[in-house]
Amino acid sequence: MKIFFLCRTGHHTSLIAAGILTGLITGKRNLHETLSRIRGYDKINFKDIGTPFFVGTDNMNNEIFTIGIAKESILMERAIKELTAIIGVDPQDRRVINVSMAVSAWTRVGLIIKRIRLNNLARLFFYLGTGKEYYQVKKILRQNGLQPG
Amino acid sequence: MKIIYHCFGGAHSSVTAASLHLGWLPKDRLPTTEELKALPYFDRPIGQDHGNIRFMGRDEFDNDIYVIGRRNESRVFENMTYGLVQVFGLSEDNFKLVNVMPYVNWRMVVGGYSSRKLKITAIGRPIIIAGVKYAYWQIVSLVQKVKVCIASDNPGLNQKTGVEQ
Repeated sequence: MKIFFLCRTGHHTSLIAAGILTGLITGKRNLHETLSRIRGYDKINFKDIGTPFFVGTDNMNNEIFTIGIAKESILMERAIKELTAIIGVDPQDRRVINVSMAVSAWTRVGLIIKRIRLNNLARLFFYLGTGKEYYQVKKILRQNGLQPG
Repeated sequence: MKIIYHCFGGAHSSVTAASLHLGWLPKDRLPTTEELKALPYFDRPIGQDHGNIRFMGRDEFDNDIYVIGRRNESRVFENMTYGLVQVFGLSEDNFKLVNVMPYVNWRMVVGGYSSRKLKITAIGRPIIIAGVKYAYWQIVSLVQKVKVCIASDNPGLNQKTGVEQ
């Protein structure tokens, strides 16, 4: 099965979710250091938002991807489900989990700053945001019946 | 092949383009108001329908024609579609996305907002229909390019933007 985590960029909050599920993130302790070691974290090109990003596999051998869906999260979640149906994918073979609701105000401000290319300042905001997002993301994973790796 | 015409709301320009593709609208004259009103989904979808991919029909080359409203996220939608096609091991050649937004004029914007968002259909719909008629020949031209490219399997049409390279 393929699991798609959705957030605004596909390289921030959804990557935290993917990191927790794949076992790359094991706890909130040293979260910032762990995140900076995760491939793709904060490595975004705004032109590429929407392109699925492969993170790895979880302990059930599911392939984990993240997708950036910008601001239209509900619309894009619906579109992904419909697109996979058109492609001919069995709904049992894919899961789409939207973690956009866990995106914090810090991360949203960070994204605005990143757009004006103040990357180091933006990263500070992302770090402040991840602390708040971690528990939200874990809650969403639990609600979807996913066990952290 | 699956061809998806996309625009802001999936209610006017993309429906017109898809209907032209399927031969439901004339290519040698402007359509009448009744012909436009009779099109399936024309000026029907509302905000909650955005993101739904609607099947319109099958063309003479056995291509499936769809329309979608994706608001202002054209690039995200295109990246996502081609990305998902790759992730599931299909060829990008099986999908063609055609962005109809470049042919949307201010009449269609004002009319669409009045009719769909403000729900003042009596005022909005005539403005939209005037806008569709104004942009009609441009949409005809776009659809002809798409059909020529499909028929000849010609990559000359940029799949991601619907604009000739």
